[in-house]
Amino acid sequence: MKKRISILVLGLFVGVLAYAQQATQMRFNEVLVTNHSNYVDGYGERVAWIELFNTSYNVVNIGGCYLTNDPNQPMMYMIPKGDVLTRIQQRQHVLFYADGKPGRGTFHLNFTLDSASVNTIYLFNADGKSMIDSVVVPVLPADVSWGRLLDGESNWSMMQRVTPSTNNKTLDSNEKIEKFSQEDPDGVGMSLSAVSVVFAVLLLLAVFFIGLANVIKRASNSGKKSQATVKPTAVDPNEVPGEVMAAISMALYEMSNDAHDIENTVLTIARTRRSYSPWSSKIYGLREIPNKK
Amino acid sequence: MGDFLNFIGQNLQEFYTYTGFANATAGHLVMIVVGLVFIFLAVKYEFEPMLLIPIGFGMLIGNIPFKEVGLQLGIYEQGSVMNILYQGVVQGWYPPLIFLGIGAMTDFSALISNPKLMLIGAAAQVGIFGAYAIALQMGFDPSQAGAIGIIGGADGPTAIFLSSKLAPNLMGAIAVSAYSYMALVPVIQPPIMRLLTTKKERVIRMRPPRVVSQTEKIIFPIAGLLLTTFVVPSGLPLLGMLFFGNLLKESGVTRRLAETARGPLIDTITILLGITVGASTQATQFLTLDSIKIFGLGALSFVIATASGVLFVKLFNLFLSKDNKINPLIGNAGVSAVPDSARISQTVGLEYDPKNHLLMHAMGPNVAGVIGSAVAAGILLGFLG
Repeated sequence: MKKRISILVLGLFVGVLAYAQQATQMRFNEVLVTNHSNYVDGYGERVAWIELFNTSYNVVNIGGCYLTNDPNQPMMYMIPKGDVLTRIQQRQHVLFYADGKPGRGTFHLNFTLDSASVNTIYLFNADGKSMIDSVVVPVLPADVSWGRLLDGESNWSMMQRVTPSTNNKTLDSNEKIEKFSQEDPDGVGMSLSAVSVVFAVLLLLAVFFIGLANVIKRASNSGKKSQATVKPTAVDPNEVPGEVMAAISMALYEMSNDAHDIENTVLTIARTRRSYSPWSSKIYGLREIPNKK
Repeated sequence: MGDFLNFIGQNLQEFYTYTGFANATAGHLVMIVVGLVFIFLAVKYEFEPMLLIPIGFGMLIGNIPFKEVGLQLGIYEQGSVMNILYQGVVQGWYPPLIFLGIGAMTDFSALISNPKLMLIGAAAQVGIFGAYAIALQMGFDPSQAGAIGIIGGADGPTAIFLSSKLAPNLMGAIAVSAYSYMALVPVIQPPIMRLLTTKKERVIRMRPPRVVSQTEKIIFPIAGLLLTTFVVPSGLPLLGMLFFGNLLKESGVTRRLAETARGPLIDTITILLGITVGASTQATQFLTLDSIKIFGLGALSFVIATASGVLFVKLFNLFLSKDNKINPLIGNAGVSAVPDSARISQTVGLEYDPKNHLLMHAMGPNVAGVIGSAVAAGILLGFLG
């Protein structure tokens, strides 16, 4: 029974992971409805186009998903399966042409957009029921697109500078680095905050393990006399101190574990040699008997 | 016959243009000499031979002059054997695998038995941010300065990991600088430790560490992972593998996996990492003013890290009871050069009190330094990446 539950949980987990990498990460990113003097498709024609953007950091396959401009017909255009071009790389774009000519290839839709009225476009998952994203495109002047200000972000706007298959906003510098250069040119702020975080993290660990040690000590005290703490006792001058023993043991341990270039000067412990191969010995394939003490 | 000899002559002449003699520059020769010095230091003085031999020999490989005609020879030529092996450095695969091995070979008992020593590991990371601030003043941009600063963490894999993300063009110089100074820990640290401590402080005897239970050892990697990476998720590749390796070791039921991680796996990755980092120091890419600045900053960050660790212990002692004082000679071990800097604490400590063994105490901050430098790298990556 336990095994079945484990397999079920594992299956669910794998399913969730697989689902996370599916087309749910795709978003409409930019739409051009009236194309007079703008982007030309592979057939030399200027038609309306719809840009999708993979917001994730994984490759997403959109084959089998549906695009439509009619919510009552969610399965209007199925993006063909088996086309390598429907595997969209991380943070990349893909362009669909709304020319009503699906015979022209994977990226030519079987519907068009109406330049005189508001258009609503939907992206449905492969089940044809669950909607991944939708966009309401207002009536736009010719050669002006409706796009997100930043790829994948929530704010939309009319875009005079149309950017098919590229970033809606071109980043010509690393804003984060620019900000650091301007706000913290000496690095003092960065140093103080970073050192504070390092201290905080290690302090957190220290506090946790001090607490854990106390809990374990109390638990062992309640059962039997604690053996965990070694109290310092009066040192017998003839007795070798524990620290010395520990240091010698540590040194021997390190010596025997390090790989050395000049082996003849190193104290090592000879290993038992076995004439048979581990491959032929069952003992190496078996897990040790659990310690149940 | 004359035509044939002429043909052979022309071929030999052309062949000569492909040889190292025809293509050698002063830069190549300088780098070959540097490689030979690395090998000499490793063989003669045993300065980190595991690192300096592969890096030194890699320098020789990377600086054999040749004519670039697309024969896929150089480490920077796409598809060459060295280039394929170098991807582990460029893409950052090797450092987490090294951390897996480090986790599987590190005993955190010293740290668990005295958790306050973790703070020394944190204090030594000041070196990273000191070098970061100075690098900014020297004209590096913040991401480059962050990559250079991490040299102060004294952790080669971390330095490579971070520089591959923040400043790939400086990675060769940063990696060589980090490994060089790690090898030179026995030279750099003792004078600073002596300078900043009094004779009385150097003979402080610390309480023996308590025995740590198996339960605590098993909880350590799990709690360590959760507590550190919830605060600094960007440190996950390094910290995740470090604690995973340690759980393999401490769980007691995955001995074979732990032995592979701390044995054949880490050895293989060390060889690949060392040889490719060495080979990445092609004179044309490496011999620049920036590389010289990076070497200077690397030394400085080591000095700051060592000093801040020692000074922090002195400060910490002001708040501790007489019986719980910490010997400031273990402050240097806050850098994550494991176990070299802990050995330095032991050696310097024995000079002043032959019966005062500091090795086990110093291992605490030393392994805390490994965690601290990975956390610091995560922070830099989060802020500047």
